[in-house]
Amino acid sequence: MSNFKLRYPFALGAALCFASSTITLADQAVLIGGGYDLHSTQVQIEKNVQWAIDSLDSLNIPATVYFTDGEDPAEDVNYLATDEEYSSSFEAMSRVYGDPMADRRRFRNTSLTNVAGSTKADDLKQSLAELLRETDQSTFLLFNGHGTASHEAPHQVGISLWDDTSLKADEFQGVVKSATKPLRYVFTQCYSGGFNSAVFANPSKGLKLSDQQICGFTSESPYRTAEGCSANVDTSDYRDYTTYFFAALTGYDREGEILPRDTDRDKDGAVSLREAHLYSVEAAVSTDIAYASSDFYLERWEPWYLKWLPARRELPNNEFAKVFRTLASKHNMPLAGNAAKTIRNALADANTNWSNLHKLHYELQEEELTLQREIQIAVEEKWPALSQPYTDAFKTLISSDSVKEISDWVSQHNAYGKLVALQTKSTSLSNDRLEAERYATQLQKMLHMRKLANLKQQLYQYGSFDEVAGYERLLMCEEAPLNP
Amino acid sequence: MPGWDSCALWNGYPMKRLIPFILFSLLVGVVIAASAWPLFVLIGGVLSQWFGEGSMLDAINNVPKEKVMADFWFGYQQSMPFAIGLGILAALDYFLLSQNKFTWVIAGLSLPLACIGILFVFYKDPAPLLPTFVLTGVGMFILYRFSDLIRRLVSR
Repeated sequence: MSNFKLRYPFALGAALCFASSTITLADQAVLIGGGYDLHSTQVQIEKNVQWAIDSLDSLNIPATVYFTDGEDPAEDVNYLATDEEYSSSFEAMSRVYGDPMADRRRFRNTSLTNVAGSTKADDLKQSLAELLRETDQSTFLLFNGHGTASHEAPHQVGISLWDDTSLKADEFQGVVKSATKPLRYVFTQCYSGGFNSAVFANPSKGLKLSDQQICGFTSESPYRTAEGCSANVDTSDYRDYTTYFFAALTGYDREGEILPRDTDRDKDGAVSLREAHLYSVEAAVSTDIAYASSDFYLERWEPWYLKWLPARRELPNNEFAKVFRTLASKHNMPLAGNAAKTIRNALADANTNWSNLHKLHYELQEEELTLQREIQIAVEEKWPALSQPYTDAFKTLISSDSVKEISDWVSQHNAYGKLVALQTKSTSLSNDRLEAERYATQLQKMLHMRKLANLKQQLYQYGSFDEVAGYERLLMCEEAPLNP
Repeated sequence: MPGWDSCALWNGYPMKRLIPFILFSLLVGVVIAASAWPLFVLIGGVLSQWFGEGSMLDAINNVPKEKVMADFWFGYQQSMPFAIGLGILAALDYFLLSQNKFTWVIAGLSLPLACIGILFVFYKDPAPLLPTFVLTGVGMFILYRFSDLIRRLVSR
């Protein structure tokens, strides 16, 4: 870093000038949340938006919220009933005809208040464009919801919006072109990394940055799914990017507990968005490998003559190396010597473990289906109407008290006990598989940090003046805190 | 009346056989030029695997195959000037050194040397990359010698 500063003092100066308005302007927040329909709007999405509203409120940042169908009182959120809410009268039926959780599924209208509008793509694009054009503040934009993949090109990934509409990353760039003031974003959906292409003048190629001051963070790369769409209402289980990011900004976790360490890395008295991001990378034991727009820039910059070479084993001492050190210490991995090799071997073992669990889980599910079918046949022999849904006979049967009787009969079936045991084991295996995936992601994250540490140094060694200035411009934008 | 090609000699070599030899030298050059980038990538990949670190490993694990292939082709195109240079060097080296039993010993060694030269001229931190470039050069040297062996076997 110091070498770079000696070589490119003007690049740093240019970046500082460009980013100065980001640092001084007050921020307004735009929070967008929800899935593409009722079934895809899990309660975690709603709770994340509420968590963001509360966190921003504590920082005196006003928020405008767009959520699912706007202020329509129709049901738009699904969740799983807690043990207190749940009465298990139909549990047996849901175990035989659906999944063990099906009986707990509930629907309701959002509890968010002051929702400014719906997230239908056309409405949202128009509202966003107006808001960005007319504001005299810099904007902080957060999206919580689902994403769509594009294996052809990162700038073609999208967000799934209400009423089965969508907005692609390059369309997003078109919308934010109307911004007259700086814009910083956080996208947390699957494949969100593709939205980092919006910082470029041409989202599909090249390193020239957009004329608008735009930068941000994403919970994932353009090619991976993200964590965080649970229907479980227990927030202590949430390990998504939003959870860690806002905890870092406020200094408190979702349970209201103070964080175990100070997230203000440079001790300047304010937690910048980049510091919050780096904290999220360090602290999250999830399946996410989060990206800053500057990380995406580094990867896009990586020239062809370096891309295929083995990386140097001695890490340069920059912020990525520091995050690597923290992660490696946390997971008992070596810091030097054959660190990368050791981590890669551990990753191979972790992947094998995950594959074995996946296979086991699949076999268990097959067995579960066979048992379900066996009980279904027995039930339908006794109550034939059950095999003909959408008929009068079926309607009459389920509107009578017979469902309770059927459910009781099912729970007495001699295969039912085995089914319950299998489903319990299946849930447990599913959790084990998720934990195995989370552990493998921690190892991948360490390798990713090492890669970024090397790439950053290489940019300073091989990059042109403009390339380095572009990177510094993004860093300046990311490093500014939110201003009330 | 004897033709010029039956009595003229080049480097102790009858002119009649010179044109096929020139053509074969050019073929060696083409083989080296065409294989320079794939060899570079292969050696880079093997060493990345060995040391456990390299962008390529992450790309193979985390990026769609189409994108990896597109990057490979892009590298192939961009490296063409270097590959063509190495191809010309290989053709000249083969033409000048491979026919004499004394110079044959060192024939082809210019390729690893040229690779090391490229490394030290164009890279700012060459030392850690030396094994990749040396081994790429050695790979090209083996290809060069293998081509020579084929020609000798065929011409017997």
